[in-house]
Amino acid sequence: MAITESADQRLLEINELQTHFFTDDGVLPAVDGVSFHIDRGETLCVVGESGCGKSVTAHSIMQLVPTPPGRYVSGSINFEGRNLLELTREEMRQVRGREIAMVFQEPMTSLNPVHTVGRQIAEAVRLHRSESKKEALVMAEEALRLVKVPDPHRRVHEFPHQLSGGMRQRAMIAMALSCRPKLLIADEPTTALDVTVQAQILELIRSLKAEVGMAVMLITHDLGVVAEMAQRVVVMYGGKVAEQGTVGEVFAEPLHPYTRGLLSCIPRLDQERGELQIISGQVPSPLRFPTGCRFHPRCPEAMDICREEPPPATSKDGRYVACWLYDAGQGGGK
Amino acid sequence: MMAASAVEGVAAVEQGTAAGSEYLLRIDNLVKYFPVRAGALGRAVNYVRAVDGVSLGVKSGQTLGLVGESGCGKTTLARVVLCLLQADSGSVVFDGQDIVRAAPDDLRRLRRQMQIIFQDPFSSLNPRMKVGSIISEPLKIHTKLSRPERLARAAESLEVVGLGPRDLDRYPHEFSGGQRQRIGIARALVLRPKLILCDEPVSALDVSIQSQILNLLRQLQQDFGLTYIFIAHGLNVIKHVSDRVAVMYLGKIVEEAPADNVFRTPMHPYTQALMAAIPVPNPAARRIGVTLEGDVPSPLNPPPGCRFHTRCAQVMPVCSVEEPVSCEVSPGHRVACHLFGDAAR
Amino acid sequence: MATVPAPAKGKIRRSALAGGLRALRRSKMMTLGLGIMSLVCLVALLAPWIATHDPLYLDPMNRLQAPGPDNWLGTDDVGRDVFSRVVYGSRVSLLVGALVVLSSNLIGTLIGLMSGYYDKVDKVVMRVMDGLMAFPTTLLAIAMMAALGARMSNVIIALSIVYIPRVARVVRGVVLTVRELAYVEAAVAIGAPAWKIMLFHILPNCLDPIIVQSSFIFAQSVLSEAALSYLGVGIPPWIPSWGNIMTGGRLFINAAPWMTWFPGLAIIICVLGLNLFGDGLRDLVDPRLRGVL
Repeated sequence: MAITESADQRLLEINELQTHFFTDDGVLPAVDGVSFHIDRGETLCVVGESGCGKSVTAHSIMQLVPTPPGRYVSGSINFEGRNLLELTREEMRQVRGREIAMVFQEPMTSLNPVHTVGRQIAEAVRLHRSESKKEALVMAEEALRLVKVPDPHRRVHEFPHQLSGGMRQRAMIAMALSCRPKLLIADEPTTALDVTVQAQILELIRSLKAEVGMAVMLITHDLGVVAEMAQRVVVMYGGKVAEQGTVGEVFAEPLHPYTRGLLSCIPRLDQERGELQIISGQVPSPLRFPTGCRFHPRCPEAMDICREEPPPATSKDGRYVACWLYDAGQGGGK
Repeated sequence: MMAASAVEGVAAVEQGTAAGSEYLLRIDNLVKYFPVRAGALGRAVNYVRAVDGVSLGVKSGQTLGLVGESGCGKTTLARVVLCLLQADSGSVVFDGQDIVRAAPDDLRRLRRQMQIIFQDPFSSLNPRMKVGSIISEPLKIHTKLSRPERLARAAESLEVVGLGPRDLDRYPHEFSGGQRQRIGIARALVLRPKLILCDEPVSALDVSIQSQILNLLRQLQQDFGLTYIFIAHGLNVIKHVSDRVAVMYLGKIVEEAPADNVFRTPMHPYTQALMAAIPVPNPAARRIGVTLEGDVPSPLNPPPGCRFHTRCAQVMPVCSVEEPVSCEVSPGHRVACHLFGDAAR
Repeated sequence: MATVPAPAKGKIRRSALAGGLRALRRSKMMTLGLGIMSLVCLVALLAPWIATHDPLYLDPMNRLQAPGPDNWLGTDDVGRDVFSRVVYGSRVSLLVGALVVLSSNLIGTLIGLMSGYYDKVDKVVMRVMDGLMAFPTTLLAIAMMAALGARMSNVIIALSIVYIPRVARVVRGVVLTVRELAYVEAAVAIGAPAWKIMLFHILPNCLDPIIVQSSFIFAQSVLSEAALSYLGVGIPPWIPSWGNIMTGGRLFINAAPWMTWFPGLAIIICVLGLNLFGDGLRDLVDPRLRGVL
């Protein structure tokens, strides 16, 4: 499927990003050469497990990585043509909240417990627009209505601890959307919530996306969430991108052995009861990534070269995989 | 009650279940409230009705899956069954003995037979103890084995869960999450208990590791004839480990049935909503069923009548007035819902 | 997932020595503090060899001499050599400090453990502790010394009582957190008796904050002892202690300021060293503690 790539469709483009952490115990190459893009109005899911670098990537986009011990070693993050890594602090502050907004995993710790919810949303509004306190509070109430918080007029004056987990996450989303950003980054927004609440929040994000017309970058470890929410998916492992493509392509025909393994080993409702498939081995720690291809110790199809050399990327028509199986030189090929 | 177990017993024999038809654990009308205290004298002003009249049974060699969301009481229920908390009323009969009213000495002996695997692999192992000590601690308390003997048993336990005797001398922090969970399992196994309570044992693990641990648990059940009570908040995990499933909501069991029944024909609207809420990793699949509105009410103030009525898509007038009684809609399948009240009668 | 991936929550209990050395390399404060303290300890240990004169030797002919080649720090109003007295005074300060730290930690930890573990004990005991802590330390110490009488052992007892509530409070805080952790629940589930749980599971996790606080208690004891002795309700005047020397110097501040300066300087250096060490230790221990627990 040919995708016409016009330059102004590209909202965010990450090129060979490397964010490393320099600690006493060594260098953690948390994000080690990651490239992908998000188009306007699109939902992209970044999926992976602990240590894969998905969260650090998101924080890098927002430049929220603590710079000691972290450092943006190389690569670029182009947002609407501007490299975010080259912006001054003030310029980046303008981008945060207004152009790109972020929602985190733990709504309880993301909201300040000593201020009312309304005040916090209003603060977000006033930071980027010139509204008075009163006007901002009205907009906060509107924002709560937008995220379907019942009785927003009362909720605006309540404190975070008076709201349930689902409500708090809605309030976070309201804060993020208060300035109608072009891109919403949601870092595991539903992991800490109950299953039934998760379904509500995901539906909310879907409907808001249509209303606000924003792009969504959803970070998760749950392939079910990916299938429900995303148009395109990026699979990360060991600080690198293993596979990329539209959701239809990747789920129907997973190329990378890791993606295949992941899809087959999760306990699914639409599957008969019985013994589960597994991926053997452990998830590698960023302190001790394996040499060559980082997945090779666990890969059922590992070859000699996988141990020695990191695999080259093969990409065609937006479909991307980094695996020796698909390297033309190795006799593979898409 | 008697009729139900007789029917179940017959059904079990017909299905050719080899596992004993004896109930290893019977919970009867268990109640546990937590008082909320206020004022200088700390008088109880309200109660968190964590477990409010739960009756369940687990047969020897089988797995009971207990599923529910936050505030449903499954964690409290687990702690009461294991006597980590004192029940307010009701009975828990384990292997013929009522453990709620057991004397401290009997209780200590009983603890050998019931063990627990915790959710968080990082906080369930003492970071300052070597793995060998952690696993042999139960042996130290309950047996008179010498230190070498204890360590030998610990090494055995480690091997059974896929680790090795070298690991006895290492500290928990040297292992990954999945490996630590294996250590926790080894600790639970070392006394060869009859019942193991698995409290969300895979929720905190990476996705690619979860199936390893689930398969391990299944294997161990076969090898050692274990009985499991498996707690989870997601029906997809429960599906692959349970023989029977019980769904909890705000301190009550709303549905209880053999696993196949629950997943093929879920009866209670909450069970249906739980299943519909789990996103399926298939982009072509449509979400079946209605997304539940609202949040889980607080167990401090449960809704009157049927506790689920505030969120139920099929609510009727009677639901806000009268609590539904659990009744059997098909052999071994119990539901507490007014939709089925008439049908059973 | 945290923004900064936690390094294999592991490297912390490597060899204690390797960790300690690396810690010193990283924290200049701690190194400096340790250096100062070592110096003070050395002086105290080698006092008989370092001191130039007998600290108790009265030489009225030589009284109120300014620092010079014979008496490096001068002499006091009865001719005793100030340098030797300051050197021997370090023994008193260190002894008092160490014993106060030891006893307040022992008793305070016991109280904190019991309070944190048993709610009923907590209610009663912490009220008493709160009451004790409400008194300013020095005042409380003075009051007790007035009641007990000015002797070294009583100084140690009084100061211990002053610091016990502080240790208890810190330990209780840690116990309250740790007892909720899963591995403590696991120990209960296994059938471990309460004393075993407290000793083997909870106590080892209290050690870090106890150690850090000890260095501050040490510093405070040195200061308090000096204050008590200065006010005349501490160490009896025939034992040279920094506070005592300063008491003597009070009347001669204009004539012989060295009687006050040098013991004062010694106190400053000692307390500075202890505080630097404690600060460095605390900075080191805290963030890692968050990872391990």
